[in-house]
Amino acid sequence: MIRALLITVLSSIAISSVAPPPTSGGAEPRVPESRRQDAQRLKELRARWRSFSEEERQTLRRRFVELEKLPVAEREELRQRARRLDEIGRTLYRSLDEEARSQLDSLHPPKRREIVRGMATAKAKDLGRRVLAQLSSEERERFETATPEERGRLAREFRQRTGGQIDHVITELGPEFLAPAELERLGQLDDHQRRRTFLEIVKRRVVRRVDQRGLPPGFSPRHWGRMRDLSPPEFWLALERARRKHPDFDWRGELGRSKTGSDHLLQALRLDLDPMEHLALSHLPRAERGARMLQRKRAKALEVIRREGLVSDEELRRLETCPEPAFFLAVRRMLGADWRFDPPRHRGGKRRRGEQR
Amino acid sequence: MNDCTRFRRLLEARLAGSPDPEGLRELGWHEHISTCAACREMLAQEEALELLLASLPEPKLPPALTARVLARLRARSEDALDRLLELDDVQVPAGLSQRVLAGVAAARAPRPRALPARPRRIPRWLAAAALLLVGVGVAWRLMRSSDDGSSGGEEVRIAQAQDEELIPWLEVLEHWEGLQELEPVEAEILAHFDTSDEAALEEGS
Repeated sequence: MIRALLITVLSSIAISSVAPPPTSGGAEPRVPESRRQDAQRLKELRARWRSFSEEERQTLRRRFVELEKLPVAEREELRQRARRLDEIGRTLYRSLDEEARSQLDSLHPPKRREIVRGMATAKAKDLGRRVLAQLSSEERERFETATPEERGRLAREFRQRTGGQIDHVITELGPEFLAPAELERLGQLDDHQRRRTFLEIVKRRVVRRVDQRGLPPGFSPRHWGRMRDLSPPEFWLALERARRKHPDFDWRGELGRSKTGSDHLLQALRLDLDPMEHLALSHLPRAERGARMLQRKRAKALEVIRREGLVSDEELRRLETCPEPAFFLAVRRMLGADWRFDPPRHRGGKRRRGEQR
Repeated sequence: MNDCTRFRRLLEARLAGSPDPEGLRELGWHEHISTCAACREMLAQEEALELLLASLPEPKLPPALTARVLARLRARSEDALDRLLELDDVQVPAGLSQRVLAGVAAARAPRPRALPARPRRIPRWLAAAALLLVGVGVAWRLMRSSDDGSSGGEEVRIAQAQDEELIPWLEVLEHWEGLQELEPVEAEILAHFDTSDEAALEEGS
């Protein structure tokens, strides 16, 4: 009865204030998909809030005061980015192997959440490095010095390149790895669905490769079994970790190009993508854990720069003593698509990234 | 009892308690739905309403609301209010007051077609009376809770209202430190690129 009254009251107000246009048929959804998703998201956020300790809530309340001081547009931007970080964190968590997952699950929930967030941030920074590494130094500089509006436009422009690569892979490998019905539907897919299909093709190709050639030594069949059950994006993240752990994992069924100094440097900087690195330092407060991780990354990067002769002796000495932000900025430049270096042992001429020794 | 009545009873049973769109979605598999357009339409409307109710924020109750509501009610109908208060026990389902207030706020917001167009079963004057009745219930509940001697009640309500404002921003607040760590270019790349781009970069290498 109360519900009927409530419905009537709400409907009557709505009808009197907003007269919806008549619909032509009964099939049109009454609540748009975005509203459904918003409702579901809010429900999840409420549940999450309830799961927080009072200490965590106090921290979040303090941050909210800071957030409210920001302009509306900036807050919305932060929301979009935070959602991406959240999504990355969830995908990472689901893609973890048993050992990392059980270690993570044994932590106190606030600590566990903190570690997953740290992993998501590390992954976001890695994504940034990898995209920047594809740009020429001119493009990178334009990107770095652009206004916020211009940066968004440039990012969309750069993304079209990976879109082209995705279309190429679908065209080339689709007939081999997709079912006839999936192939027929290709023309009707939107960008998101095409990207999903692309990841599905990548996964099927790796699975077939392992079925034919077997796993690399030391790769647990049980872990592989779990990996096979992951969704394509989760599978990709798990594959990335597996490849770092087993560099001889012939995942594409072809000989990859030989690694350059920049490739080795990129790998050194990806130290914080290993969940075990985060877990090993989980006893430390967040700031200290971050500082330790940076120290380790810096040491590894210097080791590679020295070994691969990526810079002159003079530049190396400068790098060894320069403060952290400048160090990582300089290192990032060495990952660029057109990074040139003239190491002492190759004084005969400059070599471009990717050239064979 | 015909099939429609049986189905609608089933539907009514699911509508008790707090909003639960998932629970209603299960009814979409009911055999009767495949053959009865009227019941299908009714289920769609109820689902839409449940989603709306589930999505509404807990309303912020201004500190002086109780006094204002009671004063206005007294000014309009002194006897009716007193008679109601004498009942001593107004049965208001848990959470109803918040849902009504939030519903009214949501309905007033300029959001075209946010609510399902539902056939009006009872006249407007009755709807207005219902709103008044529910309003009295809300006021009564608020008054009783503030009279309970719980001196911190008001503060708790204000704190809860502030938390309600915060919850939609929870993702930002949780990732606050991570977001500060990202450089502007990294943040921009995060906003536009995803796993498929990483895999594509790898494919192209």
